[in-house]
Amino acid sequence: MEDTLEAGDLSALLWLIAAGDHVAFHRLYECQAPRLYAVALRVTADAALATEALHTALLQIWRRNVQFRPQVGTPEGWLVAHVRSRAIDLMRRRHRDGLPPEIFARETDLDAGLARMTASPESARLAAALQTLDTPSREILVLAFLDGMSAGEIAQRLRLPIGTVKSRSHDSLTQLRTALEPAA
Amino acid sequence: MSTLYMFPPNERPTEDTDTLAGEYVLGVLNPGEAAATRLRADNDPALQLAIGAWQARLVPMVAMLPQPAPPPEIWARLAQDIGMPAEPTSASAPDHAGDQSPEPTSASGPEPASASGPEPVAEPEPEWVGEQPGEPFVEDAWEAVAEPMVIEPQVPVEIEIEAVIYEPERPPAAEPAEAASVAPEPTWADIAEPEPAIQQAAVSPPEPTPAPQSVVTTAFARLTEPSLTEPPTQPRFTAALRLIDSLLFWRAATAASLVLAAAIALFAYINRSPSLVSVAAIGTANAPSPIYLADLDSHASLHITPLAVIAVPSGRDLQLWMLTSNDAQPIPLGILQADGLTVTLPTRPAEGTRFLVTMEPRGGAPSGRITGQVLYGGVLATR
Repeated sequence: MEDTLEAGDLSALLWLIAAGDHVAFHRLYECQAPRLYAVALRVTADAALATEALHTALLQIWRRNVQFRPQVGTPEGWLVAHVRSRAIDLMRRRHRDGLPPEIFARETDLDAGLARMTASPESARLAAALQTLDTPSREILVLAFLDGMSAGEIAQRLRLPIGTVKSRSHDSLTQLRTALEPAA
Repeated sequence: MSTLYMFPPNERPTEDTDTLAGEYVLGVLNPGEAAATRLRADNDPALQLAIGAWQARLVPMVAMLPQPAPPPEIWARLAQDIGMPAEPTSASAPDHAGDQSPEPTSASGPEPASASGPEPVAEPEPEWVGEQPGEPFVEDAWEAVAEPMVIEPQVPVEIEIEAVIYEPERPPAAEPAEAASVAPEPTWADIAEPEPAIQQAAVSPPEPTPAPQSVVTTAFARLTEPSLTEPPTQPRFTAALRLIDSLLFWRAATAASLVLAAAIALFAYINRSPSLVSVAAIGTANAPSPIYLADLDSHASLHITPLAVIAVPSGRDLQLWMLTSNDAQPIPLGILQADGLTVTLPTRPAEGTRFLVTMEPRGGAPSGRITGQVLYGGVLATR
């Protein structure tokens, strides 16, 4: 269902958008909105808030409040990081007194998630790398990256000392980096 | 195709830096650490690269999420916010997933082509910037990188054009003496001819003016900053540079009047070289000066001249591409050498043809399709 773009194409779109090209902006929306909305919805657990986050994030791109720098990253990574930041901002502003149960206690179906990661070679590769981690480590990564939870919240949720959460995520990152090292 | 970001060999971060970047992107640093990391990244290219690399590594995790259709109002609002013309101008822009039409309501109205740039309306300062020190405000980290990406409000270009055209004996404000000495050929007097056309161009939108015979156009980047206008490697471009000195980049999709203004500004210069029919400035969308100039002669021979020294990491090459429309596959034109590139095109490129420069593996993208990042671009308009 998702209209996908090669990295180079997406990079070209972002470039055209920075130059004020409406058509390119519309195309970006068509191709990326579903996954970006998914990111915002997961973080905020609220359709209205997710809508707000995605709208704000994309408008910032159009207005060049933020700008993708091809020298230092990939367009996909940057786009998701940007939308995720906006979503986390809004979520934190909404819940100043701590995460509500619908976020804090929601289920994380890791297996279903990993099963979805077979669509593209990149995600399959990351899925394989994630499989090499033990379950709690994997859960920490997902709660942090997808749910936008802080280390403290993850510790509380998993009933682990915060130091353990930090050392595990540190180790997981090292492991992932090795696993994803381009074969050369 | 591997989308993992590869570090140029001499910029690989240390393990500590890399892990810090990973934790930053993952979001497990405490607010103080995150803020410190963000701050450090401003002046640490290796950390910036590491952050970008971790974003690239972790982003496929998004595939774990179910993807419900986004509410149609998101696009409806965006279309209105950006003044999207009622009809998407590309055939490749069908309504989103059968949702409600993305067309803006009549409230946005038809936006004149000359109303360039994102609305100058008092931009609500994103008040949350920096408010949440714990958040990975990743994009801030990019601010300090490489070339200056100056974001400036757009100003009316026409006035500047007028100044240049109507007062030919006065070189552009910036550096009179230099302009005179560096560019001995086409003098300002030479350039002053087509007054009537210009007058209209300065005030009227796309309507065809009695335009001069062989024209041209383009220019993304503004050529203002004197300090950034590196000495062109070929003097023959100097006059053109001066002429479009104060042009802001024009917006590719809509700014027909600006295109025309730029075209006319360049016309006289081009006219002096009968075989030279088109010129394009290639740069970043809002950087103050172009990186390359492209000129096309009547034999469809394209000549690319670098205006700055461009450092390319070892193992990489900069490749030039031509994009004939938004929907077309980019056509590879060749590898840009330190002194540019000359290539004979198979067919004469039409108005609106875009040129892109990407960073590719040495020797160019093996597949014939863009695999790297688009660094620069420019648009050609030929009458």
